[in-house]
Amino acid sequence: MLPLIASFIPVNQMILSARTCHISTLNVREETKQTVITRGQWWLRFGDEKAHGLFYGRTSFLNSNGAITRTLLSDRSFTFHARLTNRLLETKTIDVSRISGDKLSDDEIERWISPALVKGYTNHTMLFRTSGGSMLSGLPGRPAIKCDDTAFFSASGQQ
Amino acid sequence: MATEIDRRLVFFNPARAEISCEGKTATLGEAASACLSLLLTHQGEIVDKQRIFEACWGTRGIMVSNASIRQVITQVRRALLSVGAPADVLVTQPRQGYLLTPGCVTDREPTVTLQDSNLLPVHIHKAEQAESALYSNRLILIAVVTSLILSVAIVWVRLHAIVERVDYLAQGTLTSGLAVFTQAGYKSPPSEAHFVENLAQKSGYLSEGFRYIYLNKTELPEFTSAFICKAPINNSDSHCISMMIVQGDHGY
Repeated sequence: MLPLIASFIPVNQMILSARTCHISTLNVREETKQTVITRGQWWLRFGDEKAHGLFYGRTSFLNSNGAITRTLLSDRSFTFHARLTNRLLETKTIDVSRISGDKLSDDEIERWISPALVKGYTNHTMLFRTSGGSMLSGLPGRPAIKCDDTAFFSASGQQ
Repeated sequence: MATEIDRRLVFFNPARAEISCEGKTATLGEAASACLSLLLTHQGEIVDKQRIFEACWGTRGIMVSNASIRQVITQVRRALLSVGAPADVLVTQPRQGYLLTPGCVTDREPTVTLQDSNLLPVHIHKAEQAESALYSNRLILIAVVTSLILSVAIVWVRLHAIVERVDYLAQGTLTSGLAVFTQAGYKSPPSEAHFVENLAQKSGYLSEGFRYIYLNKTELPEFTSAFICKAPINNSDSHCISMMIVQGDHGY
């Protein structure tokens, strides 16, 4: 009887439910006239399909000589749906709030940090596990994000 | 219908003047032992007081009253009841004598055979029942444990079917002392580790104690993906930074 029950346990929900994930990111975009570097911190909390996240980051713009020309802060809270389907983690950002001090526009956020911080964005990622149990996410065969606190999620959605 | 108590068989050892049943024993006096021997020889029959008197005291030339005979019978009855014999083991037949109920007392050592297992003393039946119950419990326990192991295995397999395994292989050490690893199956360009190191340096991370670089597979040269960590990635305190580097404007 127990093995039969085990076959129907919603393991997809088990993976996500009530998990907390902390991710540190460094996004670098080397453009023709400048280099944009963003150091970011993400906190994600998963519930029953609905999840919540906080992001804050510092974006520095460097000229061709490597000198910082300006620095902007971004600080956002967001709500998203998350579900595991067909071995993919699907997330959809359903609401975003700017927190005081957020200076980047949605276009800039999308370009230099992550479109996950823009309302309406849908992302699909795969989950990975190292031999030691560390959890990663990314595109198939290409992990890109490491989540501390043993939760799984791809936050930046870039690759 | 036979009850459990009916099958109790009291063993009488005349040489030791002792009776026993299911671990209980009682010792009889000389006269009581002789009396029980007589009653046992004639079990199922009424033995009158005269024969009891001759068996117990006659050979010793002692004259006793009826009260003494009743006293001996009482001793025998109490001893039998004390080891668990049924209440009607020794029946008084008014004005006739006394009768030992057949099948309650024996002076033969119990021998057990499968054929007469119904006649076994209760303690042997109980031992068999206990052994049988133990065997059943073991079977149930084995079934439960097997079922649990199988269930955990099913959940484990289903969970791991969702999550893909990824490994990193050591590639060497940079001159700055950073250890470099690459994702298994990924042949990283020779300059990629230095490129990541330079950007980590530029971002201020190397001065914060990050000492491990893990290069991830990317198939487009414009993209570089890496983790820089304070400890090996499998450690719980690895504190990795997920780096994503894009080169070029790409239409912006």
